[in-house]
Amino acid sequence: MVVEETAMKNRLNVTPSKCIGCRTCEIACAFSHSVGGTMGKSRVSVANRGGGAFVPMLCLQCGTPACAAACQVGALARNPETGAVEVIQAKCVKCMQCVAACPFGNMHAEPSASGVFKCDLCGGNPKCAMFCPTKTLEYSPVRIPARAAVR
Amino acid sequence: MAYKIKIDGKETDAEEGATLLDEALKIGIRIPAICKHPGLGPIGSCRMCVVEIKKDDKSRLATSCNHVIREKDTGMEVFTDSERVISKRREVIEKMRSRWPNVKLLKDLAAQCGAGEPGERHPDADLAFNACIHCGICARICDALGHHAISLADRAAEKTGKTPFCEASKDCVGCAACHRNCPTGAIEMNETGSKRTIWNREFDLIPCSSCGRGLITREQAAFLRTSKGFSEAYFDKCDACKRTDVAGTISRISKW
Ligand code: SF4
Ligand code: FES
Repeated sequence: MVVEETAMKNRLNVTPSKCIGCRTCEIACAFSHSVGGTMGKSRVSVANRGGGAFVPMLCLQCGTPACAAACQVGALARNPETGAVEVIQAKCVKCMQCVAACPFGNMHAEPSASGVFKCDLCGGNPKCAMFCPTKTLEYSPVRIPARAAVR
Repeated sequence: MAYKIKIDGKETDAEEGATLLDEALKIGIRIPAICKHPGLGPIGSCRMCVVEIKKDDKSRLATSCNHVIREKDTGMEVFTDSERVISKRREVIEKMRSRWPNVKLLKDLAAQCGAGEPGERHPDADLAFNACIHCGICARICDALGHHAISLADRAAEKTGKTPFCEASKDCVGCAACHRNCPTGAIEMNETGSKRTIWNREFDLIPCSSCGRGLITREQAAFLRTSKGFSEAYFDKCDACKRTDVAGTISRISKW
């Protein structure tokens, strides 16, 4: 998949140094993507690196996504409005190749490989950023040209 | 291009190249379907998705999953629940149920469209609960993935999705997508530790080099390497361990 011009206005910025490891983002994500907030459904996970260092890990919405390259049925496509790489669930054939291919581990598998899921920027209103108390995750306007931003 | 058509009285602008089934779904009308998978091209084999098409005072029945909208369809009227459609749909499901009386998917569909119990039992009736109902989804998925390892083969009672001569196939990569997408659960797969057995062949799942969890088979990785240029390094770890690693790198290089 090549980077197409996107109408993307905002970008999800992550500043790990601000993270206090409260995992509010994980809970917000779980509630936004499942009934009753199943934690296994969270698309973001906070890694504890020790010594007070925390890193929230979530999809980078790569310019040339490895997940989409590994998909042979076109079930991963960029949403031109948000710039997010989204799983078209109906098309997915559950081969798990995208999960294995993402170099950052940001494509998730459902239990017993019954499907895959990833960050979709909540369709343009990411709940993780909305609830992050320290602005580690911030959904803010793109200041550089959209083309460069998604690279 | 879009053409004006009517589905169950609702007017819609149908996109050229879209199927009637998708067009109906777009305006909230669900047509029952079995052999259709949104990721694959339609084959129109189950006939569940039958609809009535009226155009220029002529009326006919057609399968909606493989009716592709063209300019000539402008002004056509489609009915998804006319008397003719309902009786045809019931007939289809009753025939399928006389062949596969115990398959849950068919039982549920029969209940949904108000079909009666199947009358006479088909001479090749298959009494299994998980049986191949010839939808061909497994074979089409395998083709779409580029492996062509299975197809619907043989006739009558013997007909099912299978590898050539039911032998271990060298084309199969063991991805198990066929197993996970079979609507009746007819395809068996066994997984113990890092071994997966499917279609009479045993596959190794690549174990994550930190935690041992396996996601894809060695053959899948080899396929991605030759067809898409993915290097071995991509598949060395599972997603969770990759996240830990990347977080480590980020915490090393960012200023606190
Ligand atoms: S899931 Fe992984 S490969 Fe795909 S866009 Fe996100 S970070 Fe990139
Ligand atoms: S879904 Fe259309 S014929 Fe099977």
